[in-house]
Amino acid sequence: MILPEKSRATLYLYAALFLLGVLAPFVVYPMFVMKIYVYGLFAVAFNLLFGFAGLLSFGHGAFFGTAAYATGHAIKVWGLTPDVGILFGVLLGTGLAGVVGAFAIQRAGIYFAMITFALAEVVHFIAMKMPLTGGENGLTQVRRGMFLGVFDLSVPLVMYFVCFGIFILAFLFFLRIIHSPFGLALRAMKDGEDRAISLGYSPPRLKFQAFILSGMLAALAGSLKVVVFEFASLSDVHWMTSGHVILMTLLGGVGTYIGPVFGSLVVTFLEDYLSFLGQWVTIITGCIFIVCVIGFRRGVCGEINVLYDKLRRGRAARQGDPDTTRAEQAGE
Amino acid sequence: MKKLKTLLMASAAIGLAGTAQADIKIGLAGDMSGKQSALAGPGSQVAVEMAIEDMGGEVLGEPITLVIGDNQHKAELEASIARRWYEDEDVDAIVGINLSSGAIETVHLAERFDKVAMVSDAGSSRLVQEDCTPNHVHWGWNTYSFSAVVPKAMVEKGNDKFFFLTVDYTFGHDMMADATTNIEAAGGSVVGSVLHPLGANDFSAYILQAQASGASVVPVINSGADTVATIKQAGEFGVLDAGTPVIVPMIFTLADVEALGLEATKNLRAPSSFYWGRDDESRAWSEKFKERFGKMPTFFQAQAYSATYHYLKAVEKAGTKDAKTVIKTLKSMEIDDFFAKNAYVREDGQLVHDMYLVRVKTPEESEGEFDFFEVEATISGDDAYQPMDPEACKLLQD
Amino acid sequence: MEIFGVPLNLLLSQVMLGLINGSFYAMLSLGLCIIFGMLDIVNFAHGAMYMMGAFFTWMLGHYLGIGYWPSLILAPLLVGVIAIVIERVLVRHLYDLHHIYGLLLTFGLVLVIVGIFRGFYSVSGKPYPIPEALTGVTNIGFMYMPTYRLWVLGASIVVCFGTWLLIERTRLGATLRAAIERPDLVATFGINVPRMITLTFAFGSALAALSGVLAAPIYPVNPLMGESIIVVVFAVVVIGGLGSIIGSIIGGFVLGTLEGLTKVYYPEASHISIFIVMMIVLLVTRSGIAGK
Repeated sequence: MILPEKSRATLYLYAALFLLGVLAPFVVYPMFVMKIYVYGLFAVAFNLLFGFAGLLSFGHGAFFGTAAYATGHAIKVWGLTPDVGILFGVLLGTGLAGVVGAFAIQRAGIYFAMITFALAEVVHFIAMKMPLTGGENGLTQVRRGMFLGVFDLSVPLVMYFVCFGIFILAFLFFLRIIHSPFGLALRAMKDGEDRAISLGYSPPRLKFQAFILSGMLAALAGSLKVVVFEFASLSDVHWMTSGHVILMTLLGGVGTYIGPVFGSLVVTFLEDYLSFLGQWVTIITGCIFIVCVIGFRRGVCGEINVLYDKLRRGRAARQGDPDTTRAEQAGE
Repeated sequence: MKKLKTLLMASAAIGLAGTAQADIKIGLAGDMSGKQSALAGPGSQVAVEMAIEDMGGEVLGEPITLVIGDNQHKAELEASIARRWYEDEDVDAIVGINLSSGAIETVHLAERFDKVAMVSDAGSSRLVQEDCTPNHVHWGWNTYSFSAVVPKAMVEKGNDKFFFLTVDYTFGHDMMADATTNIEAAGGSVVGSVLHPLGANDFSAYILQAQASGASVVPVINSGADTVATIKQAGEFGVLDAGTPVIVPMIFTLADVEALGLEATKNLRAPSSFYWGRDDESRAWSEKFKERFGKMPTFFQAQAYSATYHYLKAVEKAGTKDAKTVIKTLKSMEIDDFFAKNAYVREDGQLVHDMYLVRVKTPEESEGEFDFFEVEATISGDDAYQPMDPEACKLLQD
Repeated sequence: MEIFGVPLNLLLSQVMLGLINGSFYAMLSLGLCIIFGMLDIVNFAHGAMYMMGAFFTWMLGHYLGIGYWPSLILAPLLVGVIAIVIERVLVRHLYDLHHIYGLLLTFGLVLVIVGIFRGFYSVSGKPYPIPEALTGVTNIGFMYMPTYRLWVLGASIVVCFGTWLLIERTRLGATLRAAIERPDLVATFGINVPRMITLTFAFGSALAALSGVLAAPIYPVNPLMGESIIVVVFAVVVIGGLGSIIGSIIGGFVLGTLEGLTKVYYPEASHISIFIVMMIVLLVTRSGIAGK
């Protein structure tokens, strides 16, 4: 959520973004936009856990990558259709998230992060050792096929709109989670576990459920990735991928709704279109990190939220309308 | 919002700029900033630029442009760069490509979009076997040809028991299998192997195991920092001075010698597809390269030049940039430059050319900053490269 | 005699080598641990400090002709100064924030520092010889061990336990520990707590640089050398118990040895073994072996 809930501005914004998404493939290279969706969805998944439940996972690449391999394998080797393949990938990724989550939620804070990290390293090791991932050679030439029997994904525009559709559905699912009683309970727990307990919630159960939901969305992103790019490799399960998603979320705004997608846009753009800068890209990325952490901890969307709130509050004060002064600061 | 818009517009502008021109467009994809950027990386860019200049900057009356893509040593990025170039930016040929996963995906993308891939970095022998396509050529070394160079020379000297020290990666396993074939063909035997994780710190444990195996030769199958660490520590443990077992780094470039110093590497032997000081011709080109880059070229960088140059030559000769025609022309035309000697492109897409066994000079022998190797033996390409495999390569089947 | 099919001598040698690798882990995790204890910052840039230590050693030798022994002092000093600047300019903004921000800031720092070194020296690395006095091998009964490695082991033990004594047994250390618990209270005694924090960061970083100097003659000296080791060191600190000095020292040596053993029985898993141990330790003990 980039702006206060249910305000008209929010609706306008989402409508504008939707329109932008519809027009984008006619202006920009569709693969580039799809990459933003895939990693944006991945970052949304991460943000669900970090921004709303306060749990920092350093191993989300494991779910993303496992799902990518699973979907890729199902499509390429078993000859399944992409829809079934995605379903299979999501199931496997979610299952893995269940296992990892069951261990990780036993501990909090930095220990939680380290356990997820360790388990992700184990997954990476297994992926490297297993013949069906192709090891360093990767899983190549996964061909897209027909989605739901009607959509021929080998046509770029069809692929784009299927990807866009899945992204929107997943994002709506995320919004639904956040606004459900479960989502509210999560935020209550994030603010104070003791208080949540006294309200009758069970933090371990809440955490576990959040972990699984987040893992599921990450897995969906991974499955989508392999369908879009027709390629899965060890870098999907590498810890750098887990680090990448943290960067995107931070850039866009931790705890905002659409923020991580903006983060994905910035990072993807840096990677794809500024790569001619060669080694300077890493230095630039490093500086962005530093500037973000020192100066813009709320991220792009978080900062916009605050700015917007200030404006509104100013206007509301002038008009003397107490209702609209209720400011909700996302990202804090 | 404004930010997003500007970004989108900027990217669109870049995208459109790519499609608007009808010139010959070459993309150099490689590791410009990651772990292996010292092997090819920015140096390959200079090499490719030189190749374009040597063609006068144009072919068939069209200007040649060059775009650079950095994969940061991630397969993920390599594949998406290749796809974007072929699909959206009208790149005619991609040169370089250092990760085998990325290379395998790239050549299939080349076939799909009917463009050209000139793989000059990655060394997977799969590229001319199950992954051969009518749209690419594998320009330079592969795991088989490199592992063919060493065994014969070793067995002739009576060193016939081999123990591998191998990185636990597909590249390592592939090369180990190829080397085993070559060792057995040369009359040697393999007594064992030890696998190490990529990017390990300390190799002393593996060196001790190799020593304890009783082998007479230890081929070291890894690259970059791993190789440097292995050699450095083999020296520390006195294995290099003792001379038994003989340590043979299988991927060894000027950059590695630079990182280790001549004192620590003297008299090591390694396979190579090129050495700048091989003869006057290679020397002349390399001096020019050094003037611009500050260093002498590694074999990867020479391969990048040669691949680009011959691609452009083939376009000129074919009179078209149609991908399949160009590749066909490459397979029929004469290949000769400072890099590729006695060379031709085989039906399966492999550039076959002379391979070399090089020896690292001692500090006393070395006469200059990059005077590192001496070419000890030349192995003809037909002996070094694996025979064509009609069962695996679909090009050989009709 | 054989143990699970491995000759005893070979096994002992591997344990010994593991112990020596462990001495690097111990020194690195000690620095990391002190910084975490005092600043509450998970310092991802610790590996970059280690790298700079090794690189400065090479630079001192290459440009100024300064040898190994003076570098043992000079390189850590230089890195310490850089650390002071980093702490004053950047890190101090983060003390009241979630751990993640410290981690992210220092991660960004790594990209910048490594990027600069890579820009100037490329990734291939630089040679550094073993100092004259420590070349050759020494017979230690079951194997011939390079003399230099024995020196590393000795130096590391002295440095680690010296640091431990400094913190646990001196007045300065007592103040430091007090400042960790109650910075406000310590400040009322007229002690300059911010300066203490700065110096702690510098000291921890200098320790990393010192391990870098020790590493220069035997490990490859290149801009990426810190990245491969820092992840392991994180695990070691966590296993030892975050903030526990003795835990991180012992953790370093034990983990090094364990890694050495893995190299005998399942060599390609030597890297992953540490993470598996970390996970088990965390699940069994809650917060590391000697954690609070």
